[in-house]
Amino acid sequence: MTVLELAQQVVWGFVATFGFGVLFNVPTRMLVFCGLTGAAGHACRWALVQQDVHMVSATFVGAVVVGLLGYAEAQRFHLPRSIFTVTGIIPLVPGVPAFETLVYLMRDSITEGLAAAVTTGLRSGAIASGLVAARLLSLLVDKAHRGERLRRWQQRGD
Amino acid sequence: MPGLTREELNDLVDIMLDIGQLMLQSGAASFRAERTMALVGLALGAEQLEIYVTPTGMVATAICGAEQRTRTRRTGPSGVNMARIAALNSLSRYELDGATLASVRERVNVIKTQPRELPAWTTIPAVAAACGAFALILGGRAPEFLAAAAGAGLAQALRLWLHHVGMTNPFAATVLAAFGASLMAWGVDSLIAGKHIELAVIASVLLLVPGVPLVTSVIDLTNEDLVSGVTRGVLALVLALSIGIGVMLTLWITGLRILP
Repeated sequence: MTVLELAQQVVWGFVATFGFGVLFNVPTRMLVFCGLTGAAGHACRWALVQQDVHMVSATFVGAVVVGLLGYAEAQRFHLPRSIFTVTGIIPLVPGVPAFETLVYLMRDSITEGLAAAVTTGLRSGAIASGLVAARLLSLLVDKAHRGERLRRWQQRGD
Repeated sequence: MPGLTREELNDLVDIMLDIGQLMLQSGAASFRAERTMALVGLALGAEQLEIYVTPTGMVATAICGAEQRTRTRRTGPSGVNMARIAALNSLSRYELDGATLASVRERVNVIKTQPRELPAWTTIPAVAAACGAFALILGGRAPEFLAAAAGAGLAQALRLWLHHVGMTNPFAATVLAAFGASLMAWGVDSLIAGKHIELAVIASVLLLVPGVPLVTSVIDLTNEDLVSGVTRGVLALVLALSIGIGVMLTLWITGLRILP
């Protein structure tokens, strides 16, 4: 792992996230921040995988990074967190194993297909648990997050 | 605040359902749609709310004094629109002081008809560059970048065109787009003698991978929205199958064999 390789990964992660940000109609002035979020998550995962960390664990760490960055940006710009996390998570989404699952299964290679399906599920789970972990960490920071009105609705009748 | 009349309560539920529908069709998770609806409904004078949102339909009840109104709304997911989610979120959090039914109705209509942030054609170069970058991330070189970008650009143009001519079935559109993208990627990569055709083909269809339903599904499940989570998971699965069918057509026509 050299600095140059890392820089390349950052750039590609940025381009990939930025492109999907345009597709998802992200507010234009936020596109760069979405791109940086995605680049950070992808670069973290790539660097960990280079250090022989397992792909699933590395994906978890990448998702935590995306979730925490998304939280900070959402606070800073008063926008919903999902704008930054949903686009930022895109480079981590297990598109290739999902694709492999389909190709193998349609070719009657059941064993390989199931293996790829399990890989897809594990990485999706790692993404989700990473985002949830980031959410829980951010709840430690701010507790006065929810408005009075919403609290009234959530405590209704029970 | 004086109690709402029966007609006002009716309007209120209608506004809430409009907001929920816009949120769902912009790709928001179910709990997010419910919260936005609840904030608006309570600010407009409802004393109590019951809201149940799933990806294909929702039920909302508003209660005020002795009056109560319940309505259902059928809806369906149709893409991702972050600017719209941001606008509705801002409405529910920062724009409700002194709001009336009429003013919120007006604001919702403005949000509903808001054009895209950038013109629709900009998504074509954007996803082309993004899928090219994915080809590089997967270990491809310049030929794979070009092939994946060409395929993804074609697929996005095809999707926009299909939407334009009124073919809105997402599964059929995905099959056609995946077929076009993989065929284009194969053609370009063979033409310029790339070494990793399979990488180009995979990267060219990544723009179609239902990443947002996939992640939202798990977010729903962790929020105990089991119906929403399972529904979105199945949606993602069927979309993924559609991609598979499109790519299979290409592999069949070209006789290409990818993956060991």
